[in-house]
Amino acid sequence: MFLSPAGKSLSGLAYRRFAAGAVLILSLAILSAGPLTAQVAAQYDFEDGTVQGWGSFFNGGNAPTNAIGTAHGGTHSLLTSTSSTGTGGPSIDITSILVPGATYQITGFIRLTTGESAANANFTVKRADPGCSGGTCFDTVGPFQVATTDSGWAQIGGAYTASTTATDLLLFAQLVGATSQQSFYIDDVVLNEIAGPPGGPQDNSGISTNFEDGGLDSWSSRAGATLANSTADAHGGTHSLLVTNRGHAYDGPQISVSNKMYNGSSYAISVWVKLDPSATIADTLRVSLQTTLAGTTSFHTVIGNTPIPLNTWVNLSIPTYSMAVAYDPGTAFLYVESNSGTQSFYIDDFTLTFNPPVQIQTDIPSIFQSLAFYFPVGAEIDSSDLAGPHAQLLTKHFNSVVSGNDMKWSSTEPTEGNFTFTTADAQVKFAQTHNMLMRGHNLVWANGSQTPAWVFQEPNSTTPLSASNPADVALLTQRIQNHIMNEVTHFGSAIYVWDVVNEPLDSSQSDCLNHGPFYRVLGKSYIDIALQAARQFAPAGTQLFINDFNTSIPSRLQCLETVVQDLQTRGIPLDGVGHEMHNSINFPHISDVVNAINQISSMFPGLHQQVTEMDVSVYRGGDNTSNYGANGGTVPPSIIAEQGWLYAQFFNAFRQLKGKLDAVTFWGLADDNTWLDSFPINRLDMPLPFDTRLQAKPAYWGIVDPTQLPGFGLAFRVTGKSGPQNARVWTIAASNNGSGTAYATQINGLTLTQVSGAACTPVITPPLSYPVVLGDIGSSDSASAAFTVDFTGCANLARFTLKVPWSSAVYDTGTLTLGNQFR
Amino acid sequence: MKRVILTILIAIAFSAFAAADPITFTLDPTSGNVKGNPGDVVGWGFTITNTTANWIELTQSEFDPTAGSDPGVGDGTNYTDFLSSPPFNFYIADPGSTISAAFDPNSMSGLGDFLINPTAQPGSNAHGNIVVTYSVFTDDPNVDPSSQVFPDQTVSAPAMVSVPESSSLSLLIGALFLPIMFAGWRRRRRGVLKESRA
Repeated sequence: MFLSPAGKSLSGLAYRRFAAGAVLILSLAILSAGPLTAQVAAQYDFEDGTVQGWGSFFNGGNAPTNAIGTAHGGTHSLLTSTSSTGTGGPSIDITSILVPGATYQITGFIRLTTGESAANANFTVKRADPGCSGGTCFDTVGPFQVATTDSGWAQIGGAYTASTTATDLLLFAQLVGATSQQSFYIDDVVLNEIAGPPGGPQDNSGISTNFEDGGLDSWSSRAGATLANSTADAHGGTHSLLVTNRGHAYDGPQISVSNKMYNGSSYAISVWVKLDPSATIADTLRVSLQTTLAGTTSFHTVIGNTPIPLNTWVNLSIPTYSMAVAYDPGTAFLYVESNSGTQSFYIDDFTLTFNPPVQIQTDIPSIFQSLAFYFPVGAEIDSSDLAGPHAQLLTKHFNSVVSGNDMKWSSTEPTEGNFTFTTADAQVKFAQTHNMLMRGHNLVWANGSQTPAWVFQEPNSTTPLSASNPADVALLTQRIQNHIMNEVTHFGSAIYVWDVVNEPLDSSQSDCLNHGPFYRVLGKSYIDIALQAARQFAPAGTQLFINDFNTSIPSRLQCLETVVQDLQTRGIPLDGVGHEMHNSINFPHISDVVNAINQISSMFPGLHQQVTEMDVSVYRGGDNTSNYGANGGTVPPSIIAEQGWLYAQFFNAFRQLKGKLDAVTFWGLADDNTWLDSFPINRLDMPLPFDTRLQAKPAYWGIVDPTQLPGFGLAFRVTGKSGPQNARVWTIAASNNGSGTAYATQINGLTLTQVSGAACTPVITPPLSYPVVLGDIGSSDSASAAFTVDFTGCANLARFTLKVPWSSAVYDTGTLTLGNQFR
Repeated sequence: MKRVILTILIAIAFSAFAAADPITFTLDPTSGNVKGNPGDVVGWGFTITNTTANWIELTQSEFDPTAGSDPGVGDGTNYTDFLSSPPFNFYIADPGSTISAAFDPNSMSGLGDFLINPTAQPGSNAHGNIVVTYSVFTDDPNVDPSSQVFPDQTVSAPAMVSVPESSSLSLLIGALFLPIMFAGWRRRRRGVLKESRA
């Protein structure tokens, strides 16, 4: 049993019909001449006045002639006619032109002679091949019927893969359904090789289609939908592809990516879509991949369901899609489909771009080595980080790891008493092999996240456990103890610190505790039970933590202190607290973080503290709607720079907390795998030191060497003083001598403090109001602003100290301070 | 006419100022390298030789880290500029003169100081340039401050703040070497004794 693209199950026979139909439709319907990257195998424009080797095929010997005056391009074309019964047309032998196994775009233009009745036309290849019934096949190239008139040129043809067993190939143009002799022109016939034979060098040229040539650019119908080049709407240029008459949700446009997408390679894919004006409701579209291997066809979501509002072009895109399936030659197709329904839509500006293999930078300093004097530096990982470039990045820059999900209750004990540690074991082994510390995360999550439902239910029942039932209280206690005993015993000394209770705080509660499913049955004792069990079963020396978020917010910090105080007072084992540090571009303020760590250190001497889940979202705190990645966008470089400066400030503060802060762990390695891409909504986020291709971002440089930050070294100077005493003009200039742009540079004030001479009061008038915006200043560029100062009443020798506070990229701040300034 | 003369004078002043290497700037110490333990304050004095026909007055100094400088030692924010801070020492170099000031944090003499982060790693260093800003006058600024022709010129010199290896490490090394040295001393002493016996 297989699933169709719409998720509808098909029997084997029905499936085969579907798959075969799809392939047939492809072979029938592809039109081309799009801006594909290709090599021209042959082309015929007839501009030399000859027939360029074309002869006649099955048309009663009506040999073609070169025609002047009617042409698609230039002044010449090829004139021919069918037989008296409407058969045949001009032909050319392409046996020696086509490489067996290679795929070509064969296109040409056709026009009936004046006065001829409208007809349909196509290109066909007569193929002599032992594999064909009777030794001969007729392969239609592209659509079987293309409307043709005497008033304009129509494009015919499409993709064609040369048989590896053919002995003779004859390309000819013909009219379909003609019953009497009709004459017509053909012109500008081109044979482009778009993919080499299987086994040749990988073709990484990608695909780009924009329909601006009026054709279908190799797109074809999946299951009967009508595709037409349209000028009614377009995302770019004036043309797009209109998809109508869709019979199924999975019916729509598809394009062959055989010999364009390779198993094991990575691609960026983008296509713009818009609902046709006939659409009545917003829709949901996605991009999928169909492949067939050894007769088995499978379907893969490439770009997930994306809401498409009415009357709006929407970009469906993915920067990195890892092709992880093999397929038989000619059986890989990308296609656009609906989640449900069959509304018509446009597509435009499709691109498939090969992503070169990721290589980490080996010539930059290691993060953990740079910070080795201060604390270990860790990263949250999953199984995909244990090999390849991710593993290289991990071992180069981090000396501690934490499993993102694979040590949580739902992963380790999905059903009661049945423990599975295989995935986490691999991560532990990796850590040990590379001499890395390993945090354990987590044993009990206060709000019940990633905790199996059975934990809170009566045995073999969905009845919730109740605090009023002593047996239930005992059962949950026993379950916590048993889970912790098994997990910490299993990992033993491989884990040096456990987040025993995750996120127990809730500052809205009078007791400061999250009243989640554990609490509802056991009250606050669940924390005691967990910590005591961990202490009982974990090897001596293992540190036991509670871990929580937003601990720099005063109310939550107060709660953290309250809970720690309560635990210590009652003798419950607790060795440390984790500050998660899921930050935003504007939250929290660093001084609040420093204050929290200092305050905990002061109140609870000896209590360990770690930053456990650090990342810095590019969005502002509380912004749950913005998406820089919408419609093919990306995070502005100014925000990435701002984030870099913010990271610099955080790590400058962390260094100075040496002795109070034991470790800093990032929640992820690089931006290609971050939980913030799906929280709080699905959107592009880039919160980590390395980008989606594992390259160092400004965030990395902010941590390791802030002198490499964009705009570093921005210098403010007084570059001019002119004008009369009552209207002196002081020009303040900012020069960017750094290697990157200094974004959003502004002057936030200007003051003059008199330091000698008879007292006077200069009156300063800024160009406009503060801040005085200097904007983005490129590398080796400068910008200035003129301030008018009225020095009336100030003596000639009066001296002043000038102060000009400024900022750039929000977190790059300074004050130009100049002494001994005369007016 | 006055304007023409003034323009000519300014042009002459400018051409004189624009001569090669008119200002020689060195730090004190001349290497620019200063050392201190975590939490210490270190700093720089200076010498400036003015070979131009103009007067120059120092107005500001700053520490600009360069690539690879260890932010754990400190950065530009760790530097305090004395030139633009009270008590506002007026350093004016007359034409053809040399002025100097040793670093003295108590009197704010010199260019500025650098507070080494208390958590700085022994053996690490912050390096960069100390950039001094000065104004240029065609006359003595204490007589005619309106003779200023350039409000903001700079000279710079490389500087480095080093944090020595920890004293405990030195002690440890000393402790390791002491028995060896003592043994050597004993061997030499025995030799002396042998000789005396002979």
